[in-house]
Amino acid sequence: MGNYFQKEIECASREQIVAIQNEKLVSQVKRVYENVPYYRAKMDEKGVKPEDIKSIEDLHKLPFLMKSDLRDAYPYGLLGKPLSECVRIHSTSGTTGRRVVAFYTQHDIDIWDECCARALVAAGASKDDVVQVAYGFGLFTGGAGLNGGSHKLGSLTLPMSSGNTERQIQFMIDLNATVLCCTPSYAAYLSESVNERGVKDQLKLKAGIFGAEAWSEEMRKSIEEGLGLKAFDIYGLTEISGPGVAFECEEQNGMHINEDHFIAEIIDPDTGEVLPDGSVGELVFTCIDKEAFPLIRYRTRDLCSLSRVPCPCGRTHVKMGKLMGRSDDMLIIRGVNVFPSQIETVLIKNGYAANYQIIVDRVNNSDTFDVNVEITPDMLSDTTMGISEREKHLVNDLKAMLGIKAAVHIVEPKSIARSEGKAVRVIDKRKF
Amino acid sequence: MFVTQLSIFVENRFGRIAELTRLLADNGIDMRTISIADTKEFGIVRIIADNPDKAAEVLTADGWIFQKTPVIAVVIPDVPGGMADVLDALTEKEIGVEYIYAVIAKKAETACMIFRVKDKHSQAAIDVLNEKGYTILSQEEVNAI
Ligand SMILES: [Zn+2]
Repeated sequence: MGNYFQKEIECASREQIVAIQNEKLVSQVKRVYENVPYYRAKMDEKGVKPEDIKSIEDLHKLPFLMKSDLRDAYPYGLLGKPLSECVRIHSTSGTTGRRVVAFYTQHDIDIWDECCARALVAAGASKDDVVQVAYGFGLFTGGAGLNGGSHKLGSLTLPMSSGNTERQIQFMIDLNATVLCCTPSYAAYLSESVNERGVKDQLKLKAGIFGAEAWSEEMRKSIEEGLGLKAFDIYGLTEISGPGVAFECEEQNGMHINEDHFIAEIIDPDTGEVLPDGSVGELVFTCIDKEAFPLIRYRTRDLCSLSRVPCPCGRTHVKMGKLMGRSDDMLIIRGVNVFPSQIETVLIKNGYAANYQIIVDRVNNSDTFDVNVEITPDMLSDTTMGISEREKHLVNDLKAMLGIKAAVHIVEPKSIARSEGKAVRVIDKRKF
Repeated sequence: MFVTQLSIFVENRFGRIAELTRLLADNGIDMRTISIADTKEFGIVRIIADNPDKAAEVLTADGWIFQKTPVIAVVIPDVPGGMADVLDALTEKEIGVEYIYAVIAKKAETACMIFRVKDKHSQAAIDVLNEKGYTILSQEEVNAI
Protein backbone atom coordinates (compact mmCIF):
# COMPACT_ATOMS: atom_id res chain seq x y z
CA MET A 1 0.00 0.00 0.00
CA GLY A 2 1.39 3.32 -0.98
CA ASN A 3 0.29 6.89 -0.76
CA TYR A 4 -2.74 8.32 -2.48
CA PHE A 5 -3.64 11.82 -3.55
CA GLN A 6 -7.35 11.31 -2.82
CA LYS A 7 -7.57 8.08 -0.89
CA GLU A 8 -11.33 8.19 -0.29
CA ILE A 9 -12.17 8.17 -3.96
CA GLU A 10 -9.17 6.21 -5.25
CA CYS A 11 -9.87 3.36 -2.83
CA ALA A 12 -13.68 3.63 -2.76
CA SER A 13 -15.75 0.45 -2.79
CA ARG A 14 -17.25 -0.73 -6.08
CA GLU A 15 -20.73 0.21 -4.76
CA GLN A 16 -19.59 3.75 -4.04
CA ILE A 17 -17.98 4.09 -7.45
CA VAL A 18 -21.06 2.78 -9.23
CA ALA A 19 -23.28 5.12 -7.21
CA ILE A 20 -21.13 8.10 -8.21
CA GLN A 21 -21.11 7.00 -11.84
CA ASN A 22 -24.89 6.46 -11.93
CA GLU A 23 -25.61 9.88 -10.55
CA LYS A 24 -23.09 11.72 -12.73
CA LEU A 25 -24.01 9.84 -15.91
CA VAL A 26 -27.74 10.52 -15.63
CA SER A 27 -27.25 14.25 -15.15
CA GLN A 28 -24.51 14.45 -17.78
CA VAL A 29 -26.69 12.84 -20.45
CA LYS A 30 -29.50 15.25 -19.60
CA ARG A 31 -27.13 18.23 -19.81
CA VAL A 32 -25.60 17.11 -23.08
CA TYR A 33 -29.00 16.45 -24.65
CA GLU A 34 -30.08 19.96 -23.75
CA ASN A 35 -26.89 21.81 -24.63
CA VAL A 36 -25.20 19.91 -27.46
CA PRO A 37 -27.46 19.84 -30.54
CA TYR A 38 -24.97 17.62 -32.41
CA TYR A 39 -25.25 14.83 -29.85
CA ARG A 40 -28.99 15.42 -29.36
CA ALA A 41 -29.47 14.70 -33.06
CA LYS A 42 -27.50 11.46 -32.68
CA MET A 43 -29.63 10.38 -29.71
CA ASP A 44 -32.82 11.28 -31.54
CA GLU A 45 -31.69 9.33 -34.57
CA LYS A 46 -31.14 6.29 -32.33
CA GLY A 47 -34.43 6.90 -30.53
CA VAL A 48 -32.84 7.34 -27.10
CA LYS A 49 -34.17 9.96 -24.68
CA PRO A 50 -32.33 11.21 -21.59
CA GLU A 51 -35.03 9.52 -19.45
CA ASP A 52 -33.96 6.15 -20.86
CA ILE A 53 -30.63 6.48 -19.10
CA LYS A 54 -31.26 5.58 -15.47
CA SER A 55 -27.89 4.05 -14.55
CA ILE A 56 -24.62 2.89 -16.08
CA GLU A 57 -26.47 -0.29 -17.10
CA ASP A 58 -28.08 1.84 -19.81
CA LEU A 59 -24.83 3.27 -21.15
CA HIS A 60 -24.78 0.87 -24.12
CA LYS A 61 -27.99 2.43 -25.44
CA LEU A 62 -26.22 5.70 -26.21
CA PRO A 63 -24.71 6.44 -29.63
CA PHE A 64 -20.95 6.50 -30.15
CA LEU A 65 -18.87 9.50 -31.03
CA MET A 66 -15.92 9.00 -33.35
CA LYS A 67 -12.99 11.11 -34.42
CA SER A 68 -14.93 11.87 -37.62
CA ASP A 69 -17.70 13.42 -35.49
CA LEU A 70 -15.13 15.72 -33.91
CA ARG A 71 -14.06 16.80 -37.36
CA ASP A 72 -17.64 17.26 -38.55
CA ALA A 73 -18.51 19.30 -35.47
CA TYR A 74 -15.32 21.40 -35.67
CA PRO A 75 -14.84 23.73 -33.94
CA TYR A 76 -17.82 24.43 -31.66
CA GLY A 77 -20.33 21.69 -32.45
CA LEU A 78 -19.68 19.61 -29.32
CA LEU A 79 -19.40 22.46 -26.83
CA GLY A 80 -21.33 21.81 -23.65
CA LYS A 81 -20.93 25.30 -22.19
CA PRO A 82 -20.96 28.81 -23.63
CA LEU A 83 -17.54 29.95 -24.81
CA SER A 84 -17.57 32.63 -22.14
CA GLU A 85 -17.37 29.83 -19.54
CA CYS A 86 -14.39 28.18 -21.24
CA VAL A 87 -10.87 29.06 -20.17
CA ARG A 88 -8.61 27.02 -22.41
CA ILE A 89 -8.22 25.12 -25.66
CA HIS A 90 -5.94 22.21 -26.44
CA SER A 91 -5.50 20.47 -29.74
CA THR A 92 -4.23 17.16 -31.07
CA SER A 93 -1.15 16.91 -33.21
CA GLY A 94 -3.21 15.29 -35.96
CA THR A 95 -1.38 15.29 -39.26
CA THR A 96 -4.27 14.85 -41.64
CA GLY A 97 -7.40 16.89 -42.17
CA ARG A 98 -8.76 19.22 -39.55
CA ARG A 99 -7.20 19.33 -36.15
CA VAL A 100 -9.33 18.35 -33.19
CA VAL A 101 -9.79 21.16 -30.70
CA ALA A 102 -10.98 20.51 -27.16
CA PHE A 103 -12.35 23.09 -24.73
CA TYR A 104 -12.00 23.31 -20.95
CA THR A 105 -13.79 25.20 -18.21
CA GLN A 106 -11.92 25.92 -14.98
CA HIS A 107 -13.75 22.95 -13.46
CA ASP A 108 -12.47 20.73 -16.27
CA ILE A 109 -8.90 21.93 -15.70
CA ASP A 110 -9.28 21.28 -11.97
CA ILE A 111 -10.34 17.67 -12.39
CA TRP A 112 -7.65 17.10 -14.98
CA ASP A 113 -4.99 18.49 -12.63
CA GLU A 114 -6.32 16.23 -9.88
CA CYS A 115 -6.07 13.20 -12.13
CA CYS A 116 -2.44 14.06 -12.91
CA ALA A 117 -1.70 14.65 -9.22
CA ARG A 118 -3.05 11.14 -8.52
CA ALA A 119 -0.67 9.80 -11.18
CA LEU A 120 2.29 11.62 -9.64
CA VAL A 121 1.52 10.34 -6.15
CA ALA A 122 1.09 6.80 -7.51
CA ALA A 123 4.59 7.12 -8.98
CA GLY A 124 5.89 8.02 -5.52
CA ALA A 125 5.92 11.81 -5.76
CA SER A 126 5.00 14.23 -2.98
CA LYS A 127 5.24 17.96 -2.37
CA ASP A 128 8.89 17.45 -1.51
CA ASP A 129 9.75 16.35 -5.05
CA VAL A 130 11.18 18.27 -7.98
CA VAL A 131 9.15 17.40 -11.06
CA GLN A 132 10.77 18.04 -14.43
CA VAL A 133 8.07 18.30 -17.08
CA ALA A 134 9.76 17.63 -20.42
CA TYR A 135 6.58 17.13 -22.38
CA GLY A 136 5.86 19.78 -24.98
CA PHE A 137 3.94 22.81 -23.70
CA GLY A 138 1.39 24.59 -25.82
CA LEU A 139 -1.57 23.12 -27.64
CA PHE A 140 -0.29 19.63 -26.79
CA THR A 141 -1.81 18.40 -23.51
CA GLY A 142 1.30 16.66 -22.17
CA GLY A 143 3.07 19.65 -20.68
CA ALA A 144 -0.05 21.36 -19.36
CA GLY A 145 -1.41 18.19 -17.74
CA LEU A 146 1.63 17.14 -15.75
CA ASN A 147 2.49 20.75 -14.97
CA GLY A 148 -1.00 21.22 -13.52
CA GLY A 149 -0.82 17.96 -11.59
CA SER A 150 2.54 18.83 -10.13
CA HIS A 151 1.25 22.26 -9.01
CA LYS A 152 -1.84 20.66 -7.50
CA LEU A 153 0.38 18.32 -5.53
CA GLY A 154 2.62 21.18 -4.45
CA SER A 155 5.80 19.75 -5.93
CA LEU A 156 8.49 22.08 -7.21
CA THR A 157 7.79 22.11 -10.94
CA LEU A 158 10.34 22.56 -13.72
CA PRO A 159 8.28 23.42 -16.82
CA MET A 160 11.05 22.55 -19.30
CA SER A 161 8.95 21.60 -22.31
CA SER A 162 10.58 19.15 -24.75
CA GLY A 163 13.87 19.49 -26.58
CA ASN A 164 17.12 21.28 -25.72
CA THR A 165 18.57 18.09 -24.30
CA GLU A 166 21.72 19.77 -23.05
CA ARG A 167 19.69 22.12 -20.84
CA GLN A 168 17.36 19.32 -19.72
CA ILE A 169 20.30 17.34 -18.40
CA GLN A 170 21.92 20.34 -16.78
CA PHE A 171 18.72 21.31 -14.94
CA MET A 172 18.10 17.71 -14.00
CA ILE A 173 21.50 17.62 -12.31
CA ASP A 174 21.77 21.16 -10.92
CA LEU A 175 18.22 21.37 -9.56
CA ASN A 176 18.02 17.77 -8.33
CA ALA A 177 15.00 16.68 -10.34
CA THR A 178 13.47 13.57 -8.79
CA VAL A 179 10.57 12.94 -11.17
CA LEU A 180 10.76 13.17 -14.96
CA CYS A 181 7.64 13.48 -17.14
CA CYS A 182 7.94 13.16 -20.94
CA THR A 183 7.23 10.87 -23.86
CA PRO A 184 8.89 7.44 -23.65
CA SER A 185 10.85 8.11 -26.82
CA TYR A 186 12.21 11.33 -25.37
CA ALA A 187 13.02 9.51 -22.13
CA ALA A 188 14.98 6.94 -24.16
CA TYR A 189 16.80 9.74 -25.93
CA LEU A 190 17.60 11.51 -22.65
CA SER A 191 18.82 8.21 -21.25
CA GLU A 192 21.19 7.75 -24.20
CA SER A 193 22.44 11.30 -23.88
CA VAL A 194 22.96 11.04 -20.11
CA ASN A 195 24.98 7.86 -20.55
CA GLU A 196 27.00 9.26 -23.43
CA ARG A 197 28.05 12.08 -21.14
CA GLY A 198 28.69 9.69 -18.29
CA VAL A 199 26.64 11.73 -15.81
CA LYS A 200 24.13 9.11 -14.71
CA ASP A 201 25.56 9.02 -11.17
CA GLN A 202 24.84 12.74 -10.78
CA LEU A 203 21.08 12.22 -11.28
CA LYS A 204 18.60 12.13 -8.41
CA LEU A 205 15.70 10.80 -10.48
CA LYS A 206 13.57 8.18 -8.76
CA ALA A 207 10.49 8.05 -10.96
CA GLY A 208 9.44 8.82 -14.50
CA ILE A 209 5.95 9.25 -15.92
CA PHE A 210 6.01 8.52 -19.62
CA GLY A 211 3.00 8.60 -21.91
CA ALA A 212 1.44 9.89 -25.11
CA GLU A 213 2.94 6.99 -27.07
CA ALA A 214 2.67 3.23 -26.82
CA TRP A 215 5.84 1.64 -25.43
CA SER A 216 6.92 -1.88 -24.62
CA GLU A 217 8.10 -3.56 -21.42
CA GLU A 218 11.56 -3.89 -22.97
CA MET A 219 11.67 -0.16 -23.54
CA ARG A 220 10.58 0.39 -19.93
CA LYS A 221 13.50 -1.73 -18.71
CA SER A 222 16.03 0.07 -20.83
CA ILE A 223 14.83 3.52 -19.68
CA GLU A 224 14.75 2.40 -16.04
CA GLU A 225 18.33 1.17 -16.27
CA GLY A 226 19.56 4.12 -18.29
CA LEU A 227 18.19 6.80 -15.99
CA GLY A 228 18.13 4.86 -12.71
CA LEU A 229 14.44 5.40 -12.05
CA LYS A 230 11.16 3.53 -11.90
CA ALA A 231 9.15 4.19 -15.06
CA PHE A 232 5.37 4.59 -14.97
CA ASP A 233 2.93 4.64 -17.84
CA ILE A 234 0.21 7.26 -18.09
CA TYR A 235 -2.67 7.38 -20.51
CA GLY A 236 -4.90 10.07 -21.83
CA LEU A 237 -6.10 11.82 -24.91
CA THR A 238 -6.92 15.40 -25.69
CA GLU A 239 -10.52 14.58 -26.60
CA ILE A 240 -11.15 13.24 -23.08
CA SER A 241 -8.87 15.75 -21.26
CA GLY A 242 -5.22 14.77 -21.62
CA PRO A 243 -2.73 12.62 -19.72
CA GLY A 244 -4.10 11.29 -16.45
CA VAL A 245 -7.27 9.63 -17.68
CA ALA A 246 -5.50 6.51 -16.42
CA PHE A 247 -2.18 6.01 -14.67
CA GLU A 248 0.05 3.25 -13.41
CA CYS A 249 0.56 2.47 -9.73
CA GLU A 250 3.60 0.85 -8.10
CA GLU A 251 2.51 -2.55 -9.44
CA GLN A 252 3.40 -1.36 -12.97
CA ASN A 253 1.00 -3.77 -14.59
CA GLY A 254 -1.89 -1.74 -15.87
CA MET A 255 -3.27 1.76 -15.48
CA HIS A 256 -6.06 2.68 -13.07
CA ILE A 257 -8.74 4.63 -14.91
CA ASN A 258 -10.13 7.57 -12.93
CA GLU A 259 -13.61 6.11 -12.82
CA ASP A 260 -15.16 8.96 -10.86
CA HIS A 261 -14.69 11.08 -14.00
CA PHE A 262 -14.55 8.65 -16.89
CA ILE A 263 -16.44 5.45 -17.60
CA ALA A 264 -14.50 2.99 -19.72
CA GLU A 265 -15.96 0.31 -21.96
CA ILE A 266 -14.31 -2.18 -24.31
CA ILE A 267 -16.17 -2.82 -27.54
CA ASP A 268 -15.78 -4.97 -30.59
CA PRO A 269 -14.45 -2.42 -33.09
CA ASP A 270 -16.39 -4.05 -35.93
CA THR A 271 -19.82 -4.53 -34.35
CA GLY A 272 -19.77 -1.91 -31.57
CA GLU A 273 -20.92 -4.57 -29.11
CA VAL A 274 -19.70 -4.19 -25.50
CA LEU A 275 -17.24 -6.94 -24.53
CA PRO A 276 -16.72 -8.44 -21.07
CA ASP A 277 -13.75 -7.49 -18.86
CA GLY A 278 -10.59 -9.19 -20.01
CA SER A 279 -11.41 -9.12 -23.72
CA VAL A 280 -9.23 -7.09 -26.04
CA GLY A 281 -11.15 -4.50 -27.96
CA GLU A 282 -11.50 -0.81 -28.61
CA LEU A 283 -11.47 1.45 -25.58
CA VAL A 284 -14.47 3.80 -25.29
CA PHE A 285 -14.75 6.66 -22.80
CA THR A 286 -17.67 8.60 -21.42
CA CYS A 287 -16.87 11.83 -19.58
CA ILE A 288 -19.38 12.01 -16.76
CA ASP A 289 -18.51 15.34 -15.20
CA LYS A 290 -16.67 17.37 -17.80
CA GLU A 291 -18.41 20.57 -18.77
CA ALA A 292 -16.94 22.18 -21.88
CA PHE A 293 -16.21 19.12 -24.01
CA PRO A 294 -18.44 16.39 -22.59
CA LEU A 295 -17.84 13.49 -24.96
CA ILE A 296 -20.09 10.48 -24.52
CA ARG A 297 -19.06 7.01 -25.67
CA TYR A 298 -16.05 8.36 -27.52
CA ARG A 299 -14.25 5.68 -29.49
CA THR A 300 -10.52 6.10 -28.88
CA ARG A 301 -9.29 3.63 -31.57
CA ASP A 302 -6.94 2.32 -28.86
CA LEU A 303 -6.98 -1.44 -28.41
CA CYS A 304 -6.59 -2.88 -24.91
CA SER A 305 -8.41 -4.84 -22.21
CA LEU A 306 -9.83 -3.94 -18.77
CA SER A 307 -9.21 -5.77 -15.52
CA ARG A 308 -11.06 -5.58 -12.20
CA VAL A 309 -8.74 -7.98 -10.42
CA PRO A 310 -8.11 -6.30 -7.02
CA CYS A 311 -4.83 -4.39 -7.14
CA PRO A 312 -2.37 -4.79 -4.24
CA CYS A 313 -1.84 -1.00 -4.26
CA GLY A 314 -5.28 -0.59 -2.69
CA ARG A 315 -6.78 1.43 -5.53
CA THR A 316 -10.12 0.07 -6.61
CA HIS A 317 -10.51 1.74 -9.97
CA VAL A 318 -10.53 -0.53 -13.01
CA LYS A 319 -7.20 -1.07 -14.75
CA MET A 320 -6.55 -0.91 -18.46
CA GLY A 321 -3.79 -3.11 -19.84
CA LYS A 322 -0.94 -1.94 -22.01
CA LEU A 323 -2.19 -0.65 -25.31
CA MET A 324 -2.01 -3.40 -27.89
CA GLY A 325 -1.82 -0.72 -30.51
CA ARG A 326 -3.93 1.98 -31.94
CA SER A 327 -6.29 0.94 -34.60
CA ASP A 328 -5.11 4.15 -36.29
CA ASP A 329 -1.45 3.09 -35.90
CA MET A 330 -2.15 -0.36 -37.19
CA LEU A 331 -0.68 -0.77 -40.62
CA ILE A 332 -2.01 -3.28 -43.06
CA ILE A 333 1.01 -4.34 -45.07
CA ARG A 334 0.56 -6.99 -47.74
CA GLY A 335 -2.70 -7.84 -46.03
CA VAL A 336 -1.12 -8.42 -42.61
CA ASN A 337 -1.83 -6.29 -39.50
CA VAL A 338 1.37 -4.72 -38.21
CA PHE A 339 1.70 -2.67 -35.01
CA PRO A 340 4.80 -0.53 -34.51
CA SER A 341 4.99 -1.85 -30.94
CA GLN A 342 5.66 -5.37 -32.26
CA ILE A 343 8.65 -4.08 -34.19
CA GLU A 344 9.90 -2.26 -31.11
CA THR A 345 9.74 -5.46 -29.08
CA VAL A 346 11.87 -7.35 -31.61
CA LEU A 347 14.42 -4.54 -31.80
CA ILE A 348 14.91 -4.27 -28.07
CA LYS A 349 15.19 -8.06 -27.74
CA ASN A 350 18.04 -7.87 -30.25
CA GLY A 351 19.78 -5.18 -28.25
CA TYR A 352 18.97 -2.19 -30.41
CA ALA A 353 17.83 1.14 -29.04
CA ALA A 354 14.15 1.57 -29.79
CA ASN A 355 14.94 4.20 -32.37
CA TYR A 356 13.36 2.97 -35.54
CA GLN A 357 11.24 4.15 -38.39
CA ILE A 358 8.88 2.17 -40.53
CA ILE A 359 8.48 3.23 -44.12
CA VAL A 360 5.69 1.73 -46.18
CA ASP A 361 5.16 2.43 -49.85
CA ARG A 362 3.48 0.84 -52.80
CA VAL A 363 5.58 0.05 -55.84
CA ASN A 364 4.08 -1.78 -58.83
CA ASN A 365 0.95 -2.63 -56.85
CA SER A 366 2.79 -4.33 -54.04
CA ASP A 367 3.66 -2.97 -50.62
CA THR A 368 7.24 -2.23 -49.72
CA PHE A 369 8.07 -2.47 -46.02
CA ASP A 370 11.31 -0.95 -44.76
CA VAL A 371 12.51 -0.62 -41.20
CA ASN A 372 15.34 1.80 -40.43
CA VAL A 373 17.14 1.12 -37.18
CA GLU A 374 19.69 3.34 -35.52
CA ILE A 375 22.96 1.58 -34.77
CA THR A 376 24.39 1.64 -31.24
CA PRO A 377 28.03 1.11 -30.19
CA ASP A 378 27.23 -2.42 -28.98
CA MET A 379 25.92 -3.36 -32.38
CA LEU A 380 28.99 -2.31 -34.27
CA SER A 381 31.43 -4.68 -35.88
CA ASP A 382 34.66 -3.89 -37.70
CA THR A 383 33.46 -5.85 -40.72
CA THR A 384 30.48 -5.15 -42.95
CA MET A 385 29.68 -8.84 -42.72
CA GLY A 386 29.25 -8.55 -38.96
CA ILE A 387 26.67 -5.83 -39.40
CA SER A 388 24.96 -7.56 -42.30
CA GLU A 389 24.64 -10.67 -40.14
CA ARG A 390 22.83 -8.63 -37.53
CA GLU A 391 20.57 -7.19 -40.19
CA LYS A 392 19.74 -10.69 -41.38
CA HIS A 393 19.02 -11.76 -37.82
CA LEU A 394 16.61 -8.86 -37.39
CA VAL A 395 14.87 -9.64 -40.67
CA ASN A 396 14.31 -13.21 -39.48
CA ASP A 397 13.03 -12.20 -36.05
CA LEU A 398 10.70 -9.62 -37.56
CA LYS A 399 9.39 -12.20 -39.98
CA ALA A 400 8.75 -14.59 -37.09
CA MET A 401 6.84 -11.88 -35.20
CA LEU A 402 4.90 -10.33 -38.07
CA GLY A 403 4.62 -13.06 -40.66
CA ILE A 404 5.94 -10.83 -43.42
CA LYS A 405 9.40 -9.81 -44.49
CA ALA A 406 10.76 -6.33 -43.89
CA ALA A 407 13.85 -4.82 -45.45
CA VAL A 408 16.02 -3.72 -42.53
CA HIS A 409 18.48 -0.86 -42.84
CA ILE A 410 20.99 0.00 -40.15
CA VAL A 411 21.39 3.78 -40.05
CA GLU A 412 23.56 6.24 -38.16
CA PRO A 413 22.57 7.29 -34.66
CA LYS A 414 20.16 10.19 -34.27
CA SER A 415 19.35 10.14 -37.97
CA ILE A 416 15.67 9.36 -37.34
CA ALA A 417 13.65 12.53 -36.99
CA ARG A 418 12.04 13.43 -33.70
CA SER A 419 9.41 16.13 -33.41
CA GLU A 420 8.09 17.62 -30.15
CA GLY A 421 9.96 14.81 -28.46
CA LYS A 422 7.80 12.30 -30.30
CA ALA A 423 9.68 10.11 -32.71
CA VAL A 424 8.18 9.83 -36.16
CA ARG A 425 7.74 6.06 -36.21
CA VAL A 426 5.72 5.47 -39.30
CA ILE A 427 5.87 6.97 -42.75
CA ASP A 428 3.16 5.56 -44.96
CA LYS A 429 3.63 6.85 -48.48
CA ARG A 430 0.89 4.75 -50.02
CA LYS A 431 -1.94 6.59 -51.70
CA PHE A 432 -5.25 4.78 -51.62
CA MET B 1 51.99 -5.99 -30.25
CA PHE B 2 48.91 -4.41 -31.73
CA VAL B 3 48.04 -1.20 -33.44
CA THR B 4 44.69 0.46 -32.69
CA GLN B 5 42.38 0.79 -35.64
CA LEU B 6 39.24 2.91 -35.44
CA SER B 7 36.35 1.17 -37.20
CA ILE B 8 33.69 3.78 -37.92
CA PHE B 9 30.15 3.16 -39.11
CA VAL B 10 29.23 5.45 -42.00
CA GLU B 11 25.99 5.49 -43.93
CA ASN B 12 26.35 5.62 -47.70
CA ARG B 13 25.32 9.22 -48.00
CA PHE B 14 26.84 11.83 -50.26
CA GLY B 15 29.64 13.73 -48.53
CA ARG B 16 29.67 11.65 -45.36
CA ILE B 17 33.29 10.49 -45.63
CA ALA B 18 34.34 14.03 -46.45
CA GLU B 19 32.66 15.16 -43.21
CA LEU B 20 34.47 12.45 -41.28
CA THR B 21 37.93 13.22 -42.63
CA ARG B 22 37.37 16.97 -42.29
CA LEU B 23 36.43 16.48 -38.64
CA LEU B 24 39.67 14.60 -37.98
CA ALA B 25 41.71 17.15 -39.91
CA ASP B 26 40.17 20.06 -38.02
CA ASN B 27 41.25 18.41 -34.79
CA GLY B 28 44.80 17.94 -35.97
CA ILE B 29 44.59 14.17 -36.31
CA ASP B 30 46.80 12.62 -38.94
CA MET B 31 45.62 9.46 -40.63
CA ARG B 32 48.45 7.02 -41.30
CA THR B 33 46.16 5.00 -43.51
CA ILE B 34 42.51 4.44 -44.28
CA SER B 35 40.50 1.67 -45.87
CA ILE B 36 36.80 1.37 -46.49
CA ALA B 37 34.64 -1.72 -46.59
CA ASP B 38 31.28 -0.90 -48.05
CA THR B 39 27.91 -2.35 -48.89
CA LYS B 40 25.10 -0.69 -50.81
CA GLU B 41 23.86 1.09 -47.71
CA PHE B 42 26.70 1.57 -45.28
CA GLY B 43 30.41 1.25 -44.89
CA ILE B 44 33.00 0.66 -42.21
CA VAL B 45 35.79 3.17 -42.46
CA ARG B 46 38.97 1.78 -40.92
CA ILE B 47 41.51 4.33 -39.88
CA ILE B 48 44.93 4.14 -38.29
CA ALA B 49 45.38 7.55 -36.69
CA ASP B 50 48.55 8.96 -35.15
CA ASN B 51 46.64 9.57 -31.91
CA PRO B 52 43.83 7.01 -31.61
CA ASP B 53 42.72 8.17 -28.14
CA LYS B 54 42.27 11.73 -29.24
CA ALA B 55 40.57 10.59 -32.45
CA ALA B 56 38.16 8.51 -30.34
CA GLU B 57 37.33 11.53 -28.19
CA VAL B 58 36.65 13.67 -31.22
CA LEU B 59 34.44 11.01 -32.81
CA THR B 60 32.45 10.46 -29.63
CA ALA B 61 31.85 14.16 -29.16
CA ASP B 62 30.59 14.45 -32.72
CA GLY B 63 28.22 11.48 -32.35
CA TRP B 64 29.91 8.87 -34.59
CA ILE B 65 29.51 5.21 -33.85
CA PHE B 66 32.87 3.44 -33.91
CA GLN B 67 34.94 0.81 -32.22
CA LYS B 68 38.62 0.41 -31.42
CA THR B 69 39.89 -2.74 -33.07
CA PRO B 70 43.34 -4.26 -32.44
CA VAL B 71 45.14 -5.02 -35.72
CA ILE B 72 48.64 -6.21 -36.61
CA ALA B 73 51.08 -4.10 -38.61
CA VAL B 74 53.91 -6.05 -40.22
CA VAL B 75 56.78 -4.78 -42.35
CA ILE B 76 57.05 -6.57 -45.69
CA PRO B 77 59.62 -6.15 -48.47
CA ASP B 78 58.25 -4.11 -51.35
CA VAL B 79 58.93 -6.82 -53.93
CA PRO B 80 56.65 -9.22 -55.84
CA GLY B 81 55.55 -11.93 -53.41
CA GLY B 82 56.17 -9.80 -50.32
CA MET B 83 52.58 -10.07 -49.14
CA ALA B 84 52.06 -13.60 -50.44
CA ASP B 85 54.88 -14.86 -48.18
CA VAL B 86 53.22 -13.42 -45.09
CA LEU B 87 49.88 -14.92 -46.02
CA ASP B 88 51.46 -18.30 -46.70
CA ALA B 89 52.98 -18.27 -43.23
CA LEU B 90 49.57 -17.58 -41.70
CA THR B 91 47.77 -20.12 -43.88
CA GLU B 92 50.22 -22.84 -42.82
CA LYS B 93 49.07 -22.25 -39.25
CA GLU B 94 45.44 -22.24 -40.40
CA ILE B 95 45.01 -18.61 -39.47
CA GLY B 96 42.42 -16.84 -41.63
CA VAL B 97 42.73 -13.14 -42.34
CA GLU B 98 39.59 -11.04 -41.97
CA TYR B 99 40.87 -8.09 -44.00
CA ILE B 100 44.09 -6.48 -45.17
CA TYR B 101 45.21 -3.05 -46.21
CA ALA B 102 48.53 -1.25 -46.47
CA VAL B 103 50.39 1.81 -45.33
CA ILE B 104 52.26 3.54 -48.09
CA ALA B 105 55.83 3.55 -46.93
CA LYS B 106 57.99 6.56 -47.48
CA LYS B 107 61.06 4.38 -47.56
CA ALA B 108 61.16 2.68 -50.96
CA GLU B 109 62.23 -0.83 -50.14
CA THR B 110 59.55 -1.88 -47.63
CA ALA B 111 55.81 -1.58 -47.19
CA CYS B 112 53.61 -2.08 -44.17
CA MET B 113 50.73 -4.49 -44.32
CA ILE B 114 47.94 -4.09 -41.80
CA PHE B 115 45.66 -7.03 -41.20
CA ARG B 116 43.15 -8.40 -38.81
CA VAL B 117 42.65 -11.98 -37.68
CA LYS B 118 40.15 -13.38 -35.23
CA ASP B 119 41.07 -12.45 -31.64
CA LYS B 120 41.76 -16.09 -30.76
CA HIS B 121 44.37 -16.26 -33.54
CA SER B 122 46.10 -12.96 -32.98
CA GLN B 123 48.91 -14.21 -30.72
CA ALA B 124 49.61 -17.17 -33.01
CA ALA B 125 49.78 -14.81 -35.98
CA ILE B 126 52.33 -12.62 -34.26
CA ASP B 127 54.36 -15.65 -33.16
CA VAL B 128 54.57 -17.18 -36.59
CA LEU B 129 55.62 -13.90 -38.20
CA ASN B 130 58.24 -13.30 -35.52
CA GLU B 131 59.56 -16.82 -36.12
CA LYS B 132 59.89 -16.07 -39.83
CA GLY B 133 61.83 -12.92 -39.00
CA TYR B 134 59.24 -10.31 -39.86
CA THR B 135 59.10 -7.02 -37.98
CA ILE B 136 55.82 -6.25 -36.22
CA LEU B 137 55.29 -2.55 -35.69
CA SER B 138 53.99 -0.73 -32.64
CA GLN B 139 51.64 2.24 -32.83
CA GLU B 140 54.60 4.64 -32.52
CA GLU B 141 56.48 2.85 -35.27
CA VAL B 142 53.48 3.03 -37.58
CA ASN B 143 53.20 6.73 -36.83
CA ALA B 144 56.85 7.13 -37.79
CA ILE B 145 56.54 5.48 -41.20
ZN1 LIG C 1 -2.79 -0.41 -8.36
